[in-house]
This record gives sequence, structure tokens and C-alpha cells, in this order.
Amino acid sequence: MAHASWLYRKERTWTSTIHSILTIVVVCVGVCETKQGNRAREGLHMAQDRSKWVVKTCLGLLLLAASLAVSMSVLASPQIDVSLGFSGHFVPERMAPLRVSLSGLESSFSGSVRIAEQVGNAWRGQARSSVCFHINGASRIYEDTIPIYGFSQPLLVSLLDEEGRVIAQQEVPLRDKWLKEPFIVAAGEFPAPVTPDAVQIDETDLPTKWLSYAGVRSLWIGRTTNGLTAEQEEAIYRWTSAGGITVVFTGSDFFRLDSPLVRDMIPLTNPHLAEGVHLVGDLRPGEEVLLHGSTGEPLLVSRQLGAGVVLLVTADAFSLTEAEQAQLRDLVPSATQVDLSDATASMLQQMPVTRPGYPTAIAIVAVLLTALVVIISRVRSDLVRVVSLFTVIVACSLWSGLYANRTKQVHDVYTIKTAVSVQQRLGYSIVSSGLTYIAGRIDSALPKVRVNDWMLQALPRDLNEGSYDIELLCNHVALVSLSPGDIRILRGGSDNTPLISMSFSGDERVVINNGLSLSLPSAAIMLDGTTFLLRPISTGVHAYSLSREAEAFAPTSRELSSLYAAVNKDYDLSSGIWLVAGTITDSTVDSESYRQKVRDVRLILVEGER
Amino acid sequence: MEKRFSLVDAQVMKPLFGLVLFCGLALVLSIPPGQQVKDFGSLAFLQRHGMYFYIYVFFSGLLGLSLGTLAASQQEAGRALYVHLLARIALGQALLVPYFIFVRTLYPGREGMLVLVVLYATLAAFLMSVTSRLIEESGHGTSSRGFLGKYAAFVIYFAAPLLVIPVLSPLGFVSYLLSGERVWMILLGYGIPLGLTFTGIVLCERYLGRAR
Repeated sequence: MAHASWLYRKERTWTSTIHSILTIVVVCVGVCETKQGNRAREGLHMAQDRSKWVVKTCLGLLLLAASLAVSMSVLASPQIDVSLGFSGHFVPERMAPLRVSLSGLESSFSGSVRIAEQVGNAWRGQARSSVCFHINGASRIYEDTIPIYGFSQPLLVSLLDEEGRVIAQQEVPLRDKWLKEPFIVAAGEFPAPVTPDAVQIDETDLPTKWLSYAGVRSLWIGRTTNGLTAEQEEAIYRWTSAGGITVVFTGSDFFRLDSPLVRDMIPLTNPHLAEGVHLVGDLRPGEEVLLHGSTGEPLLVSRQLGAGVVLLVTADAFSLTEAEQAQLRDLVPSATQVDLSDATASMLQQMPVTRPGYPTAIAIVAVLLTALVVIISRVRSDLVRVVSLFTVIVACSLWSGLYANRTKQVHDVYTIKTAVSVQQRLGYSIVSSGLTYIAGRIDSALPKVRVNDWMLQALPRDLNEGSYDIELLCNHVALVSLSPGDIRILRGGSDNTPLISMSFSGDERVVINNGLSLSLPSAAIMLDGTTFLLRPISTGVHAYSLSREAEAFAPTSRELSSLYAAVNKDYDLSSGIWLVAGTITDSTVDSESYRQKVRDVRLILVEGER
Repeated sequence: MEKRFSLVDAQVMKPLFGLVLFCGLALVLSIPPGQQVKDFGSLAFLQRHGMYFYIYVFFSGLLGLSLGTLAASQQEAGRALYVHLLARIALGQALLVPYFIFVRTLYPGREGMLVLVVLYATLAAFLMSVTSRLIEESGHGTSSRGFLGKYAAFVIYFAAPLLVIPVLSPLGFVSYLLSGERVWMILLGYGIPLGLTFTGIVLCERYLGRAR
């Protein structure tokens, strides 16, 4: 049985009150019983007291049983416990991890969790953000990444049943632990605060979604008890490759972290301990030793991983001197996540508009007016006038109909979707969307435009102009409210792996397996900085020759070029083997309340192996 | 003296020319400016707010006024009056067919609304023509009193309700149509000119018949 939230809270309050009263009564009866017992032992009023004693004992037991029953019902009621960010720390207007623990639910329970946030205030204007994710009976702890926009108002996390009724609720205050800038997260044990401003967490609290790390300046992994889970490793790998900074303390602690994925991340191959203190191994090509220890051994080794950096400290966190710790702090850069927002905004502004042209409209008006004047003033016969006029009308109607066809129809909403899909050892996608409501339709109702990804919306300082409400639905679709003339830019990412792989067959041939449902007209292979242009990559498995050497990858499409330029500065494509390919598709989405033109610009980066 | 009826003559040209010209201008201005999203500027609101339809209904009303005056000058009455008025109004609407085909690209998926607006404008034009014919009766389309009277009636019908009950005004009703109002509101919008037209016809029958 479900209740509205206030009713539910009220019921719980009453239950607790009854429980307290019963407990007090049971204690009182117990005290009386003890006194009576003492008196009985003293031999006073023995016969009468014994019967009273039995009655009171029974009464006490009954009350105790009732109290226990009420307690059980309280324990069995649904409860929700929410933790946000890293030990509660987060940066507004970024994604943050959210962990929801549920208890008191039946195993067959299915419903959803809704997180509501009020953004802004009376002066800045207000907007509403709502996030939803599904709950089923299989698990009791749920983790997801949610956008957090502000800190002034608490998050309201509600547990809903299948009918959408609230059955438990918790408010999460945001004022206490918000941070203005991205912060350092130190996971695991460290001897003392390695950096004074780091947020210290247990390694088990590390999020398992890579987007959750959006507010992290750098992630320091110290001594762990049992290493990291595979999901945590994957999340850290993806986040680092998308522009994150990960510092791994190893030395004698390395073998707690050791896994194929961690080995793939770190700058050393064949890692092993030297003298039981330092991790040594073969440096990968292009890696750099940033700091040497007192005996000359490499202490800090850096490796570029995608757009990010992995810094390997070859000793464990407890073996470093204070001086080494200080040097280390200075050498760790800040994460710069790949962000397509600017490129998306620029592409949206330059998106061509479909509409009928002025010259044809003017020509039709001119022909009609001229015909009207000429026919009436020159033609004498009534019948000929009428026939001539109708001939002109029919001719102009045909002209108008042939010209103003479906390809000239005005769209209400223009959307540009940009995505960079990267495939290294793991794949992921960085996405952004830009929307504007130009409004061809004249319904006063403002459309809620559907975006097929969960994303964070960029908010201006002033929220008074336009509606900035955004809903992230349970099916991972975002609904954005738009007023005429509004422009919205959203950013996000996903674990989606580009379904494309490549392998070399001989020196000048590469076999590409394109599992995407579309061909890639612009493509190139970058082999240690040398660019070879490929013919369009069609779907399926095909061999391509590396014969067309070019100075650089320069797609003919302006959108692809600007997306490539935005990515090229972050990813080092000059070392190793990379397949770079891109495509643009246009489509029209007809909805009940709007007609949307969608341009999809997608760039794919696949790192190959020799 | 009663002239022989001509559907398209020099006297009809002026009101038809006005309708075609101003609706044409509204059509051109309703095309969203610019080739790219960034070019969408202040003129975009003309299309967004359906300016073409307001101009169309307004000038259809004016066409009706002029045709009524013309009918008064030719002392038309009885069934012929209504047939002639309707024929000329239909000619005016026919001249705008190429525009409506063009306008479809500006408001895709709103064909039903286009048809409703055309029907309503035709009705409003007929109402105005009957009203004008009634008012101009005494001066045969030439008196200044008749001129002032018919334009006063036009202003009262088109503008005054906007301040109180917008749906009674053709301009207000178009706004309701564009915003996809409820059916009963649309029926009410049609009911007002229908009722007024019926009243106008009854009055025409009574007074024009008596004058004759």
C-alpha cells in the first residue's frame, strides 16, 4: 500500500509515538512488577498479590509484544538514504555522483527515484531540474551521475512506486559542501594530507560512472585495501582518457591495484618492484619522467592517455618524503575535460535555415498584381476577363506549389548534435547538443524538446528570460523547455563504444570493420603523425590502402573540420596509430508540437595497435 | 439605374488590388529572414506571430466594406445582392490561393487552421459587405455619413471587442485559432459573425425591400 509523501510521514510519526508510549508503559509495568515481587518475597499479602502479579505480567508481555510489532512495522517501511558527490563535495553546474541506498522494500518492488532541484532565486530567476532513474527489486544500492546546477536549495530525492506515488523522501542539503572550483580527490590511505585541499575518500566510495568525475581536478589513488573494482577502473580509465588527471601511487602497493586495465593505463610495461620499494619497468614510447628520487630512480612518470594524463608515482604514498610530496603537488596539472560546447554553439549559429526564398514570393505577388491590372484594364469581354484571371490564378498556384514544397518548409526547432566517440582499450563518447526554437508553428504552447541523451544544460546568469526547466527521464531522454528565440547548449557523455575497429594487414593496408549503420565519408589514418587519407568507409569489413598521404586530416565539411579542430588540441594524435573518421547526417523530427531539424555531426577516433 | 452585373470590372479592381497587394506584402514579410540560425533577428516574430493571417482577415473585411458600397451604388438587393457579393468575395479569396499554397511552407502541419481562417475571413467579408450595403443604402454609396458609418462599424467590429472579449473580434478570433484554442471557443468565434450576418440579411430584406 502506498501513500502520498506527507501522509506517509504522518503515519510514521504516529507509529513512532505509539511505539514510545508502549515502551514507557512496558517499563512502568516492569518497575511495578519488581516492587510487587519484592513485597511478595517479604511475605506480605501473598495470596492477593500473586494473582495481581500474574495479571500484570501478562499485561506487560502483551504490551511488549505490541511494541515489538509496531517496531517491526517501522523497520519494514521503505527508507531512502542518499549520498551526493565525493564525501558530499561537488561543483555546481557539473555532473556529480549520487548513491541511493534503499531499505524496507519488498523484493518485487519496482519504481523509480526522482531527484528534483530548484535552481536560482527570486533575483536570478528560477528553473527546475528533474532527474529520474529506474529501481527494480534486484539491487538496493543505486549509483548514477546527475547534473547539479546550484547549491542554495536542497535536492529533493523521492522514491516513487510504479504509479508514480511518493513512498519515501529525503532532502539533501547542498549548502555545506559545494566547491567553486574542481577539487583534488584522494582515494585510499595517505600518510597525512598529501594536499591540504584534497577531499579524502575511501576507495570503495569511488564512483563507477566516468561522468561522475566531472568536478574532479585530479584523482590521487593511494593505498587501497582490496584494490578497485572493475567498474571503478573502467570509469577512471574513461574519465582520464576524456581529459582527466590520475595520479597512481604504486611501489609496494601496486599489486593491490594490479589488473590488465591498470597495466594498460600506467606508463610502464612489465612493471615489477625493485628493492621492494620502487616500481620499475620499461617506459612506453613518448612517456616522460617528471621527477627523480634521491637515488636517481624515476619517481614520477607521466603518460598521455587520450586527452588526459596518467601520473605514476613509483613509490607508495607512505615512502615519500615531505619534499618529494611538495614537488609532486607542483607537478600535477589540472584536468581539462574535452568539452564540445563551444564548437556546438558555433555550429548551431551557422546551421543553414530551410525556408522559402524572397524572390519567388515577390515574383508571385508581382505577377498577380500585374495580371489583375492588365486584365481588368485591357480586356473588354467579361467572360475573357474571368477566364484570363482564373488562368493566372491557376498558373500562380502551380508555381507556388511546385516551388514551396516540403524542402522549403520552415522548421520550428533547430538542433545540432555533436559527438566524439573514442575507442581505445575502452570506448566512450563525449556529446553535446545545441537547440534553438525559431518557431514556425504558432501555438502558444512552448514545446518540450526531446534530446536523446542525459545531459547538463549550460545556464546563464539571468534565468528570468525564457524557461530553463529540464527533465531527465527514466529512459535516459532529456526534455528541454524552449521559448521562441531561446538557445540551449547541453553537454554530457556516455559509455557508448563506437562499433568500429581496425587492424593492419601489411605495411600499406588496413582492414576496417565498420559496424555502424552508416558509412563514414571523411576518414584518415594517422601513423605516427603522418596522415593517410582513406576513401569513404562503408559499412562492413573492407580493406583500405594507405597510399594517399596528406599534410593533415581536413574534412570538406565545415562542421566536421571545426569538431576535429576542437578535439585535435586535446588528443595527441601525432603518436601511435589513429583512425579518424567523421560523418554528418541531417534529419527531420515531426512531433505533435514542433518540427525539428536535426544535424548530427560525429567524429570517431580509434586507436590502433601495430 | 441598375447596372448589368460584372464579376470583374474596374470598380472591383481597387478593393481586390488592395487585398492582393497587402496580403502579398504580409506574405513576403512572414518569410523568416536570414540564411543561418544566427541571422534570425527581429523580423522573425512577424512569422512567429502569424502576421499574414491578421493582415488577411483585416483586408478581407475591408474588401467586404468596399463590395457593399459598390452594391449600394448599383442598388443591388434581394437574392442577387448576396450572390453578387459572395461571387466577388470568392474571387478575392481565389486570387489569394497562390499565397495560401506558399504560406503552407511557413506553417507546416497547420493546413486545418488555414482552412478555418479562410472560411472565417470569407464570412467576415460577407458580414462587412452586408453591413456596408445597409449603411450606404440612403446615400447610394456616395454620402459622407455612409462612409463614416461603415468605417465606424468596421472599427467597432474589428477593434472594440479586443479590449473586452477578444474572440468577438475577427483579429482576436484569429489569434485564438492560431493558438489552437478549444472547440467551443472556435464555435463561438464562428457563431458571432454567422449570427450578425443572419441579422444583416434579415435587415436587408426588411429595409432594402421596403425602399425598393
